[in-house]
Amino acid sequence: MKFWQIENLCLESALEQIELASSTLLSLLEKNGITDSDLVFTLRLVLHEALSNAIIHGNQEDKNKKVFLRLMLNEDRIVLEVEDEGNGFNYEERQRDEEVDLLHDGGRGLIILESLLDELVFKDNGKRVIMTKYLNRGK
Amino acid sequence: MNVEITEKRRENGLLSIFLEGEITYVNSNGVKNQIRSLMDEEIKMLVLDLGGVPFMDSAGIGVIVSLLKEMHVRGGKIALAGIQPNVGKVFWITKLDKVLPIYETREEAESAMHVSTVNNGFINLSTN
Repeated sequence: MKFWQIENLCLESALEQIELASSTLLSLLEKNGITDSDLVFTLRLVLHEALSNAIIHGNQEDKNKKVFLRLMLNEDRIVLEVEDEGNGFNYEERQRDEEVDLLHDGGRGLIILESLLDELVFKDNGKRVIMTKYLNRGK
Repeated sequence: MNVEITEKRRENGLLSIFLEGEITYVNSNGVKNQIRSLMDEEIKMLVLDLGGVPFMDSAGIGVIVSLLKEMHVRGGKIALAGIQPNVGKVFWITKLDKVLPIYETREEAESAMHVSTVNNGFINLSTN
């Protein structure tokens, strides 16, 4: 697997679409012999969190807006890129807010992304998130 | 994507249920409502056996937090059991393992609930 394998999906702003994205990810991993259950669980979890952030907070579940997902896999890493059509958000500010309440109803997505990924980069005012997981090392 | 919920025990204010299936953003509201529909006013101790849950995202965590708050409002308690290792990771990352009692088996959780309730003295359990 010397070159990048890439899957692109354009999703509606509906939470049901997470299942479609999740299936696409699982199929890409399986096709490439990535079966480690811990890694597969982690990748699926970060995908769910990033997509739900994009659909709920980014696009506010507006059916006229799309979420763009790109899955990129090569021999040493997988990169998941999620982009929404919302107004973006201040990543640093959100981080500070989330440190407060363990029993808040939501807001755990970013904590999960930060804990499990090897690299997490927000671009375009928070509308695009690029998440990298190395396949043979890291968290 | 359905979650099957099986009632395992209901007695003396205790409701113990087994969940089977994934809990995610897609079905979390349905799962929460299903569990709530089983919780009549007498329920003061809720045990959730997650032994049949192989995957959960933060929406699943949200369901449990919501039930925890509801039990607190009733003056009751909640405990979890049977959590699979990968799912346990989600609890650990979100630090909910610090605020929720977690047991290996449903039976242990049920016993612990009864013991702590008797010790707190707010419910008299029948010995029948």
